[in-house]
Amino acid sequence: MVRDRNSRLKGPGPCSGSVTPAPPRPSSHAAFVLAAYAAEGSLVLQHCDECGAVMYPPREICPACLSDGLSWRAENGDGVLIAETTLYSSTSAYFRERLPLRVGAIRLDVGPVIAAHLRMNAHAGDRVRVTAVTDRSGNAAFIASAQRERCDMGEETLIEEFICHPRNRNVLITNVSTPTGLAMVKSMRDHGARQIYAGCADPSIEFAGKNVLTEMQGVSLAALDLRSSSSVATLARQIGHELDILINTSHSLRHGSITCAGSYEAARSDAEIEIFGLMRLFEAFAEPMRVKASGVGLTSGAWVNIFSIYALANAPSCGVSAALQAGAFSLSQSMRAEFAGCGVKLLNVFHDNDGAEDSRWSSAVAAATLDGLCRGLETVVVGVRARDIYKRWREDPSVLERELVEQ
Amino acid sequence: MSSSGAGKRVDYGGVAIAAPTTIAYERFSRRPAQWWIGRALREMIECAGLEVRAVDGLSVSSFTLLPDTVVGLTEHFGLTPRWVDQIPMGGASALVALRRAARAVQARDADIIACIGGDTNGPDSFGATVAGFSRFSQDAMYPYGAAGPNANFAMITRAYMQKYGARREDFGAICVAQRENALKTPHAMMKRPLSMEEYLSARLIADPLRLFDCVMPCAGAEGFLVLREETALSLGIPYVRLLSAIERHNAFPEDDIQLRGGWAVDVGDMWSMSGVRPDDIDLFESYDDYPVVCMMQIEDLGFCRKGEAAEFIRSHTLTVNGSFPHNTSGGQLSVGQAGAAGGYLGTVEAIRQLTGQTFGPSVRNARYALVSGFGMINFDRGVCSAAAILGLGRAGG
Repeated sequence: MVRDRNSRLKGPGPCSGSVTPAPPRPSSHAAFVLAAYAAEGSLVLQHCDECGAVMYPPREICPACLSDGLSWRAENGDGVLIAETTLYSSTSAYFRERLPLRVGAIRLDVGPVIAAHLRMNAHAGDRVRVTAVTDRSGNAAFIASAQRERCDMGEETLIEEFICHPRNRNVLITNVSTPTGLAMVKSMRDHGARQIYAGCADPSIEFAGKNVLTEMQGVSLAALDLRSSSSVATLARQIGHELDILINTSHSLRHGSITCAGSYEAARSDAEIEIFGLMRLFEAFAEPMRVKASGVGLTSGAWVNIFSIYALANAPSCGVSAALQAGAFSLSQSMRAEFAGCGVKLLNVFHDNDGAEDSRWSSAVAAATLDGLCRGLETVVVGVRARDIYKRWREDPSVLERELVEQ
Repeated sequence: MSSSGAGKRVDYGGVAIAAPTTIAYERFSRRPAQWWIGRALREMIECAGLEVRAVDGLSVSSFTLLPDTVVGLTEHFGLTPRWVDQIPMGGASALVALRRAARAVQARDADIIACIGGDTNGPDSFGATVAGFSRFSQDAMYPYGAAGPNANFAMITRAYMQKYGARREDFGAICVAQRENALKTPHAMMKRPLSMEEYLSARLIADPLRLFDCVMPCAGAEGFLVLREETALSLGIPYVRLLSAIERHNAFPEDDIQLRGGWAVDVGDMWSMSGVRPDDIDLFESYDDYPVVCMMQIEDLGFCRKGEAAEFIRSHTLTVNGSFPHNTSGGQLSVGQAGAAGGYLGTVEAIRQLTGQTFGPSVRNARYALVSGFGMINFDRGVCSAAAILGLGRAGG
């Protein structure tokens, strides 16, 4: 893999020739707040705790009462498109390659005027709904769509880049010998993926659903053993250059506390997949996927990791396995940083399954993953319990840690 | 919004503005802003026949001066002033600098103040200025095409056209007349005549704005001296008087989209303080980063009612010898936008016109000029607005 001095992926820069330039990186605290929520699909605005004013762009001080008590709140994004233009010129190399570009000003029902990219169906005077996604450099970017249904016309090249719909894309699912892997293959195939590589450690071994898989058009079994560097590297050499989406379905949560007999040996063995397997995958596939995503045409890519929600906060009843997933989640954070500006979006899907994977649950995870890809999200949480834990984790992880002990 | 607090404002009696100075613009320059500002300082003191040490006040405006401030420039230029100021207000810089300097010389906090706007322009400086312009634009505009002010003024222009019925040809009339004025300005970036057909069919920049609706970034400097009339008379230099001046920031924040500027708040104050009427004005130097802004100023400063600037333009000629001489040196649209010097261009040209020191043709028997400034697209609109009425003090030549 090509690395620069800082051992980062070779990022897009002014001197990198054919590599697509990226938009400017976010630089203010507020920009990171907007981005962190946009990564979950939320549009947040600041509200004044004292006078209730809603404001944008982000501020330190309320312009209505000078209070510094400002809180972020999710909004529905409804408003009116008050003005629009089509840009044919830009001072940024990234945007110059994506002209013309439609942008507009929206008066939100909650008060402020915001700027947003416009879907083709949105025109001045229309009621619109504004949603938030993250762009190639990790900025929150707002997109306005007309609220009434209208036939979309023309290309939306830039907006297509914010998302990663599986249509016409090549997908690797790292482990299909589980119900989740199988559901993921079906979901990607049903939504137009061009070629799906269904990974399994040993394709000669039988597993549930294997027959179904081998009969699907556009699906091929691929030998992929995350415990083996050579296995991962071999597959990467074969398909890495054409891969748009990698879905890592190899993580699985096991019961067992740190006091259980044999927990050390089990952890050591699982780490080969959960931790080192993820690193092997990244080492082999990150660079070819970055190159593919930096090319011309439909350029965005995605890397999906499926984690237990206990990767965020340890549940002692599955304490060892949760610890491994926490390590893997931490790795995925550094992967996201490495991918910044490359056009490969890192999506973490958190679920609350802590037992057998039934097909209904697996389908829910696959559907949520698809939704996350189609909406350009970076975080998706599946299941009532997982959403509850995620919310509490966002509020206060140290309280959540103590609460999980009692469960 | 009321225009002023309790009580009548003190007039600017005894204030003189002299030594209109322009350092010929260049499209790109390897010289830094310090060079451009220093050249302007030297030229204006030579023009006034002054020793450097006679300058005891310095006010500068520049986007490309960093990491220096006006403080660094005092040491750089060997000045020991007792009054300094730095006005980061883009297109409103000259008029805000003038207002403050006028009060300083009136109060004798300083005797002779050099007011200078100057910027350099490298191949990447415009992009860098746009990229780092403000926190609001970084957070809330830059992710939508890094457009600088083009996107905002495209939306404003379209909204203005829809609300008031202005046509592309009306904006074109402003640009075509300014180009004619610019043909006699030796350092103008745009030296070829511009026809209405060329204006209308130029390449799109941000719909409905086309190439000739936009200024060309360049390097340059402009400035003038602010002093007391008695000092100007003893130096024997031509000067103009400051009859009135207004400034306003962040006016009408509740407006959906900017179709009026802060001038509308203070226009009554400006005319009543000046003692002259719109009919008395011999030339109007408006801020012209985009022609729609000229229309807003024609309305908000009282030459016609709101929404009627297009009709006003159709019934006037805007060239130097026309019925409504406007941006008589060609304005930024034809001469170029030399960063913060763009905010000085109109004021310097008005002093030239009134004192008979123009590069090209002058407005005959001009006694009164209105100058207007507008600046700083912090997010989606220009925040600063200012205007001043100048009257002839002592003519040159």
